[in-house]
Amino acid sequence: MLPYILKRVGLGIIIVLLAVALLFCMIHLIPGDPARIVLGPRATPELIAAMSARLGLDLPFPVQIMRFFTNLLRGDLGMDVITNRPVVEIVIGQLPYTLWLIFCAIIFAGLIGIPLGCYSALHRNTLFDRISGVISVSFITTPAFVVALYALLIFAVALQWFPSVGAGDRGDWLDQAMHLVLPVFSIGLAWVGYLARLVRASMLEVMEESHIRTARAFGLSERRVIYHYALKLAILPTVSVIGVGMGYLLSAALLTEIVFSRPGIGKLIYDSVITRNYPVVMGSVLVSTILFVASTTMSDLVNAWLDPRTRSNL
Amino acid sequence: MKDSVLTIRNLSVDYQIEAGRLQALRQVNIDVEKGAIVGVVGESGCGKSTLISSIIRLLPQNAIIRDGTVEFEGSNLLDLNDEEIRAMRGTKISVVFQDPMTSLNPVLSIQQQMMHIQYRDQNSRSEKLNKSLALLESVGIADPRTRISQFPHEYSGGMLQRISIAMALQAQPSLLIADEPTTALDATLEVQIIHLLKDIQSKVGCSVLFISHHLGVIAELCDSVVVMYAGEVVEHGTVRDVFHNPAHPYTRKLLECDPAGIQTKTRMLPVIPGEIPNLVNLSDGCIFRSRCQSALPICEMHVPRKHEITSTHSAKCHQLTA
Repeated sequence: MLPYILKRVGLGIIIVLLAVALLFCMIHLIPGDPARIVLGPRATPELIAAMSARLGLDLPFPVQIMRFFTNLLRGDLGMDVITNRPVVEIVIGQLPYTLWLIFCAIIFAGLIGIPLGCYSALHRNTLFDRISGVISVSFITTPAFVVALYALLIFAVALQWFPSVGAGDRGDWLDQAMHLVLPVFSIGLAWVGYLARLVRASMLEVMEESHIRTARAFGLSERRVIYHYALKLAILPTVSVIGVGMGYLLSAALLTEIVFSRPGIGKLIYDSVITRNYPVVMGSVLVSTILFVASTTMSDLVNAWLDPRTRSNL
Repeated sequence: MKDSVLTIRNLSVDYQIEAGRLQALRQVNIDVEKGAIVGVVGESGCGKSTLISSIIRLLPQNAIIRDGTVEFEGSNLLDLNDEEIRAMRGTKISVVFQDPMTSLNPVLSIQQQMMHIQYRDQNSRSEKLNKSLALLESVGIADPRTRISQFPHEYSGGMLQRISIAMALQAQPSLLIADEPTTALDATLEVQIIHLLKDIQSKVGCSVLFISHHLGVIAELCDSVVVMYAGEVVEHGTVRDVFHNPAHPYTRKLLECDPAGIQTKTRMLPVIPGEIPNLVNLSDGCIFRSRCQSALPICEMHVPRKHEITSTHSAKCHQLTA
């Protein structure tokens, strides 16, 4: 297992570095001088030159990218152009909000979607299965920000069950949890449907496999056959999808954070793009990339832990 | 007559499919005597798997048992409720399935699977483990103590089939059903597995219902043979009866087609022309008539009745009675 972990983590690091290099190049390929944009249209050439020197934009491109990487390895992502605070500090400050949001959304989706899929698969073609199929597909097709807007209108404005704006008071766990409910619901709903469909399909497939017949032929209880023999296999594709899904939830989180005016990485990217705050854009995109790679790596490791065949192939 | 372990009478099973009712088994009669090895032979689609699934009651949901009884040790298995039949599976009746590579769970270790099937016993974990190790040893798995914690994909097909046999014999069943246990294995392993089965059968003393389409294996292993065609038993008798004096045209054709029996060099292997008839909306008449070279007019009209050739040998063919 250890060689496999090392291999996957090593691969993850390489992917992050490549992604960051690509990102760096892309930002530099975008037309327009960041220094000029930051300072606005009425900036004097002297000011622009000073800003360029401060951001290191006057250096040749290879030197810039080398500097960026050496700084990165030291944990230095540069300074926020506007507030003059270290970017690392800003990003780390916003990260927990987004992490909680995504994490809770996946838990919410998994807790409802996985049992729903199982139940549908085991009661195939019943009324329940058909209804859950229709509902799942409609969940999948509704964009997160639409759900967010309606959730806001219904549960925050009309019914006033949950607060509408922000992330709650620092230190007040209950308040923060209450503020999480609607955003989590908004981005998790599509995943409830998606996971339900996915688990149903893989469960149906596994239940047809011949080892399930063997397990039954040994008189194992139906509970053990389903939850021990079938689900352990049927859950494997879901684990992979959740790994990738955590990454996609980041983009869903962006819109949801804006709708609910919640702090978070998504809101940070949005705000810094609007204000052309390139170091912050760079820093938050970097963190998102790491998050994406980390979650896919994690799901690969969980898969390897669950499935001995993956483990021994590497 | 010796006492029977398994007596199947008039078993008829249909599958409800879109085109109508597929009559997979029709009036099947099979006897398995105590300690006997009975072979069931027939080509693919003749109802062998349906037969096994009916005995252990693991038929697909669209199956309908239309008629018949499956007497096993004094009770009709078809009358038992779900809990009662589950208590039989793996204890009184065990099955060794066809493809060992897919018939064990790929994400559970052999140890986990062998321990799970002993869930009924009151033994401690270490006793169950020791029993599993002894079972593995008895089927010829070298170094069971290290190998037992491995997963199915770390074993070869032959080894997995040995493990399947060990697992099936765990509770010392009175009936072992072997569903083409050697079909997925190569020829040398086939011989080994057959010898192992025969060996273990004589030690445990269980009866065996051995399903195969390999005539040579049946002749080697079994005491009596049931020849099935398209859901019917067309001939039944001792190995000697059926192989030396086949009475049904299908059995004769089947024996002619066995490559092991061909004496002269040939570029074309013999085949039985035609296909298994469609079992949906069956008409009257002999089921084999469309492929039979010696069909009579009567074969179009009536289903042939069972004809006793000797006390141990019977077949269903109009020519025997005509």
